[in-house]
Amino acid sequence: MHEWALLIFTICVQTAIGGMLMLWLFQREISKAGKEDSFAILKIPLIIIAALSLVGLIASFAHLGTPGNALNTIRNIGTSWMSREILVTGAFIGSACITAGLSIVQKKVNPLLMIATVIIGFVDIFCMAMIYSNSLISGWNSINTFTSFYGTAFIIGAVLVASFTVPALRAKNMDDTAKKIVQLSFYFALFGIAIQLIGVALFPASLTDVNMIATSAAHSSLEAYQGTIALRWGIEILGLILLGYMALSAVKKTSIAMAFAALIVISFAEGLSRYVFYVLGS
Amino acid sequence: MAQMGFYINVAECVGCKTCTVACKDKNDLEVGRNFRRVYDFQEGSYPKPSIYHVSLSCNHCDEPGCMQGCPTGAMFKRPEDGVVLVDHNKCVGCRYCEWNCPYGAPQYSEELGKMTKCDTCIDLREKGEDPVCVSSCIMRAIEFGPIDELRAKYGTVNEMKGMPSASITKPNIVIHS
Amino acid sequence: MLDIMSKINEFKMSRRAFIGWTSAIAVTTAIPVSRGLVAKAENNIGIAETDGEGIWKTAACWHNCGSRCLNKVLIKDGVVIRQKTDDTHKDSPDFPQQRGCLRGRSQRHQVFNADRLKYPMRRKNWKPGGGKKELRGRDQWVRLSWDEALDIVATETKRIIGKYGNESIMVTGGDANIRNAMSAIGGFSACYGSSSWGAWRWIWENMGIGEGLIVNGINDRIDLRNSQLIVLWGANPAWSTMGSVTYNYLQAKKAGARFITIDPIYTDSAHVFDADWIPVRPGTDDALAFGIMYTLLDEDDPAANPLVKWDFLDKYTIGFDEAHMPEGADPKDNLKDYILGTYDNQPKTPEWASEICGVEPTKIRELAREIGGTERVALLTAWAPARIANGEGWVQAFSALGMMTGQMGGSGKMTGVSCWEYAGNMGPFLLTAGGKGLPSITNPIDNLINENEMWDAVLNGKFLQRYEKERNVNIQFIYHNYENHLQTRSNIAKGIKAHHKVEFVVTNAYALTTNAKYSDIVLPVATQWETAGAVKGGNREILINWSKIIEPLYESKTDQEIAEALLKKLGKDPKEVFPITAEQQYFNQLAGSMVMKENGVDYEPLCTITAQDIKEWGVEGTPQKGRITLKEFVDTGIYQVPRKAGDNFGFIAYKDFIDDPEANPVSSESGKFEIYCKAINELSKTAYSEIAPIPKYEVKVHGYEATFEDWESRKKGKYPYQMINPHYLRRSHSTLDNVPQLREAWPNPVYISRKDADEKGIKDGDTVLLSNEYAKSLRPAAVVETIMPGVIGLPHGAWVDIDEKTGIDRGGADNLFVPHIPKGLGSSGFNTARVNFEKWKGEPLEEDVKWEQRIIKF
Ligand SMILES: Nc1nc2c(c(=O)[nH]1)N[C@H]1C(S)=C(S)[C@@H](COP(=O)(O)OP(=O)(O)OC[C@H]3O[C@@H](n4cnc5c(=O)[nH]c(N)nc54)[C@H](O)[C@@H]3O)O[C@H]1N2
Ligand SMILES: Nc1nc2c(c(=O)[nH]1)N[C@H]1C(S)=C(S)[C@@H](COP(=O)(O)OP(=O)(O)OC[C@H]3O[C@@H](n4cnc5c(=O)[nH]c(N)nc54)[C@H](O)[C@@H]3O)O[C@H]1N2
Ligand code: SF4
Ligand code: SF4
Ligand code: SF4
Ligand code: SF4
Ligand code: SF4
Ligand SMILES: [Mo]
Repeated sequence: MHEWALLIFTICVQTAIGGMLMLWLFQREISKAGKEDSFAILKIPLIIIAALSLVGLIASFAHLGTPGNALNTIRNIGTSWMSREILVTGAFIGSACITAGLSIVQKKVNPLLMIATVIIGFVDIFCMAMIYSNSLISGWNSINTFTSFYGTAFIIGAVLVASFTVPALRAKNMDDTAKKIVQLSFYFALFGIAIQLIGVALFPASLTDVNMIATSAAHSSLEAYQGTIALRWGIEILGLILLGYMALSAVKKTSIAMAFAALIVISFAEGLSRYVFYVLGS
Repeated sequence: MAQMGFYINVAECVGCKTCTVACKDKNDLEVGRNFRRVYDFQEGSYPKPSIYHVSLSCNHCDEPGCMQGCPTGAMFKRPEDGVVLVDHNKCVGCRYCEWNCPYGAPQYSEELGKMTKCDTCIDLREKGEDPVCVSSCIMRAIEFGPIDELRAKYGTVNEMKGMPSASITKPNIVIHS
Repeated sequence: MLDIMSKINEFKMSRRAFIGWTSAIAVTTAIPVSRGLVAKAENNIGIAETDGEGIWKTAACWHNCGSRCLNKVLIKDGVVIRQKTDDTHKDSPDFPQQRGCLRGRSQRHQVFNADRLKYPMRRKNWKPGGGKKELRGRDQWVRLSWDEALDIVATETKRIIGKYGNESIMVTGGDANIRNAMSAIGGFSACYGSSSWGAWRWIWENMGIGEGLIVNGINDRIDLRNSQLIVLWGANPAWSTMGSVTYNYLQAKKAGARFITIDPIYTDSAHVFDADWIPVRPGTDDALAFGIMYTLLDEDDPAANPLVKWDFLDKYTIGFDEAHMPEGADPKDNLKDYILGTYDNQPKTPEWASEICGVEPTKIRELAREIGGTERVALLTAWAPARIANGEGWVQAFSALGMMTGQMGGSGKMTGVSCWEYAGNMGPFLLTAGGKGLPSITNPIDNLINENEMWDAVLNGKFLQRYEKERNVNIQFIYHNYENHLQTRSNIAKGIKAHHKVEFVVTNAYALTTNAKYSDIVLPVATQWETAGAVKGGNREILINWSKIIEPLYESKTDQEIAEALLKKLGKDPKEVFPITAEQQYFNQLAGSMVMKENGVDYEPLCTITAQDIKEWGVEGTPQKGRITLKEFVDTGIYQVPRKAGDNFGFIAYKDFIDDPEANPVSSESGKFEIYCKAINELSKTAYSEIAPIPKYEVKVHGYEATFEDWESRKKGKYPYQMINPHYLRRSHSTLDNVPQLREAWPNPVYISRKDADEKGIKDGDTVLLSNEYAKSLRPAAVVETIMPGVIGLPHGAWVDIDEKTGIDRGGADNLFVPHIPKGLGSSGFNTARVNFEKWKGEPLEEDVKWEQRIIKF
């Protein structure tokens, strides 16, 4: 596996996109609760999302052999999904940073900008997935690539934003809202997992012939990674259980520690999943 | 000038990899980077096995996947003879072409941070010489020339067992197996 | 933004540098080294760079690789920037270019390899008398000046001669320089062996046949196209005679010949010739031949089905049947009765043969009918099937088969060795190189130690002086030059013990070869790119000459310079041994080169040499008239005689003898082909084990039968697999094995049949542990359908690399497993070895291209 940069890039940007979606939903939830202006609560997550998108940007540069030529990468919008993706990713990162920056300057969040960023982000994930599914690598040219990428956005995005808003809500004694938010995030994570599972289920059926010389079919490249895959699901389920416990238990106060534990565990699981994804291409 | 291509006589190739190494020498390629590669295949079972080797570089395809996916337009097809080349002024080293070539032709240079590949030994051809892989093959199993002429001489087979389907990129190669 | 980009760029550069530093040492260090040091590249006399693109010069490719090809290098601004091969004339099957192989094309990576030895060096714990001798092979190295190094060698030489006598010096290797120097100071114990030939080496002359190098036994390549059936009996030109040979064979196929290969391996030759493959167990070809001969006798009907050529046997051979026995021989001891089992009650039927060789009886009968029933057959064998212990019987049986079927001495008919530089193309040389003009110095000591017992001789102090009697010897000083005996001769483990025992070991080497690694003093030697030049023959149609490409790299010296310097230190005048310069030697070879005239009989000088040439070269000589100018030969680097069907250069082996046996007797005592050869039997009585005068099946030490604990009940033993060592395309023996790009192209696995691998649960690429009573070694498995079950193919020549902690080799050195047991006349027995293998449970082996090179840092 030599695609570390791409692993970091895709996870960060997808997390940022999913996170932005959650933030948009949360700000609606928080403003429903009424008493607080949501900026104070959403500031930190917003900055983290912008920061993640920038980390993604740096990682994407690290992937390039000649970053100095980066500006050339949007010259082939006509036929290259890579070009398109770079353009849209740029737009997403730009609007994520503007959204965060503006809200800091204006000391309030801008739901319209947020939802616009989310939409760009969702297009971006589509472009990202098209790069891989359009390639000849056995296993990438599958519906699984889409479900895996969108799934990651939902799963980590949800947990990330939840774990970073809970402390602020707790501090402001908005325990009910915190609970709501954790519930929301749990359902989104479940949704993310569900679509990933659909992708996994459809994976074997969607595999085409091996289209490259001297590579092996996806199932045989994955043979050595069955343990990793099992580990990933184990950890992922553990994270979900943590999250589910927080969301559904009768305890009123949401545990901050548990929220971060869930974030760490789930991020790790998604990292492993992405690692295995890139094994296919190496 | 016409579209150029290679003829590979798989039936007479002994799999010695002299072509690979001669090309390495010509292009100063380090270990790991091979503009021409020889793929070894085995079929059947004891005591009636068969073996064969397919020597491939870049097939300078009619529908080059490498080029379609390339975000910078660095990968381009020379109009005059259909040779697919990398413009190093544009290439960003994203390696996306590696994922889009069925034949493993793009060979990334860590040192340059850019993609490199078979250029049909353009410099030698300008001097009227054959590409090095052609003039090195001890079995005379590689030929290079206008693809129409090669097809007229050797037929139009452009894939064989073990090779990716020619429908993907329409390679300019003639295989004799 | 720009700033960030340049930062990222910088980071990537340093990462790249790091990668370069860790994994691609060869690349990053070799280039600057070559850039710096090739700056002194020399122009040929008279060659000038004209087009600003550099000059092409013919560069040496001098290895014992079984071929000779034209290799050229492009020198620009004093740097070797590229190589190429023969483009001196248009290529055609009749007049083919002499194209080099992947090894030749990697030559500059050998010469400029990062592991070139730079300075004379000494083992750290060496002391006069040896010091800690057991550290040989794992000690550190200390850099020496030439003066210090030569002082040590001279002082130790004198001390050892004084104490033990000149007999205690063993010089290995064929290079004349050190041998002559040592001869001049009182001599040394020499060793000898039949490495390449196996059992062909010492019996051909007495039998009246050719062995394929000294005497031709097969026809020329154009005549090969007249054969209808070509049997490659243990020969794989696609691997072991690169260059033109496989291409020449292909022309015979195109002319209509059918091919059969008899080999434990389905080879790439079999593939391109579309041959029928008959898998045979190693070292059992004699049994197969007997099964064929039995069938021929059994089914022969002079009228309806003439399989045996009785006329041929009658006219040209002795010993086939009772009626043709030589005087004094027991009439019962004839081949026909042996085959029929008349007296030993064991008819050598296909069923009998099949038990041993593994070929189905029906297949054996088919083979017999094909060989006996086809008019023009080429029965061609390489030396490999004879590179076995007790192999003489095979040579006799194979030859007898050719005689029985009359496949000798006619167009398209041949029976003999087709191997090495003369494979598939024999006949008198159309070109010959001149001599160097150096005096020959005789070695005053006549000890000749057989290579199969050389390490025992060192360890036990005695050896058999062949054809005489046992002698005592006390070897205390081994001087290795221009070969790699510790690597390429049998039983490396015993060899290492021997190296740990003696008082002094010196090697001239240009990389840390096995010999060098186990030495006390290593003297860095120049490669042939760094010496004056030479003229070399290859196949009979060519003569190649190469000249100096660069001055010796680093502090290396040529073999001659080392020998001269040593002689001086030993108080001898080097002029006695080397009265002329290296340049003069090169010139003499050029001036003495001869080419055959169109008439196919007479020779004329190849080069026209003028007084002006002699002056320019600064040598002594006399002007002469030849076919081409000296300058043309040196600039082109090759002269090749064009061939075509019907020219005067064709050759049919033994034709003179066949045409008139009385007037042109063969080399045997009787002047006929000796199926019964008394002389061989006589010789063997004072050698290692008795050889019957006629071909007879003999159980081979460490052969197939020895893989059983109990042959009668067919209970397998501890080492149930037979091992062979096919010569491998990544290297020439051990030479070039250190070149990373060759390691990349040919990864050196151990070949295991799918059936055997399945039984052991081994998958392709798994690391396996090979073992026998002598050693253990690791290799990745290549699980194939193309090797006979029961046979393991470990490619010949990988550098031994023993882990001092576990004692396990990871290089895959073949000779770890080959026993050290002389048999017959003392011929090499490499292809009879036995092993076991199992899945390796430790860390899997990394591909050896990724291993660190043996670069010595001081
Ligand atoms: N690439 C390469 N080529 C070389 C060399 C090298 O080191 N590397 N060395 C050169 C030298 S010096 C020499 S002497 C020649 C030797 O050349 P050869 O004598 O031809 O030796 P190999 O190539 O080892 O074996 C040839 C074939 O014999 C088969 N064989 C082995 N044992 C037996 C047996 O018992 N019976 C039968 N029927 N077949 C058997 C092998 O499977 C192989 O296919 O090669 C020369 N060519
Ligand atoms: N098990 C097994 N063993 C075998 C064989 C087999 O089939 N199986 N094959 C046998 C055969 S056929 C042969 S011919 C032998 C070959 O046996 P060797 O002759 O020992 O083989 P090489 O590895 O070619 O060794 C040549 C050495 O000389 C060095 N050298 C090259 N040029 C020069 C020079 O100019 N000066 C000096 N001083 N050194 C130089 C090289 O670096 C190399 O170390 O191996 C035999 N050994
Ligand atoms: S050089 Fe020729 S014979 Fe050798 S591998 Fe290449 S194509 Fe095949
Ligand atoms: S072989 Fe690969 S690199 Fe070459 S043109 Fe076709 S797709 Fe592009
Ligand atoms: S590595 Fe270069 S040539 Fe290949 S796709 Fe990227 S920019 Fe294009
Ligand atoms: S044409 Fe030139 S660059 Fe291309 S594979 Fe052949 S030798 Fe290499
Ligand atoms: S076959 Fe031998 S002489 Fe010819 S290029 Fe290869 S190594 Fe050199
Ligand atoms: Mo040899």
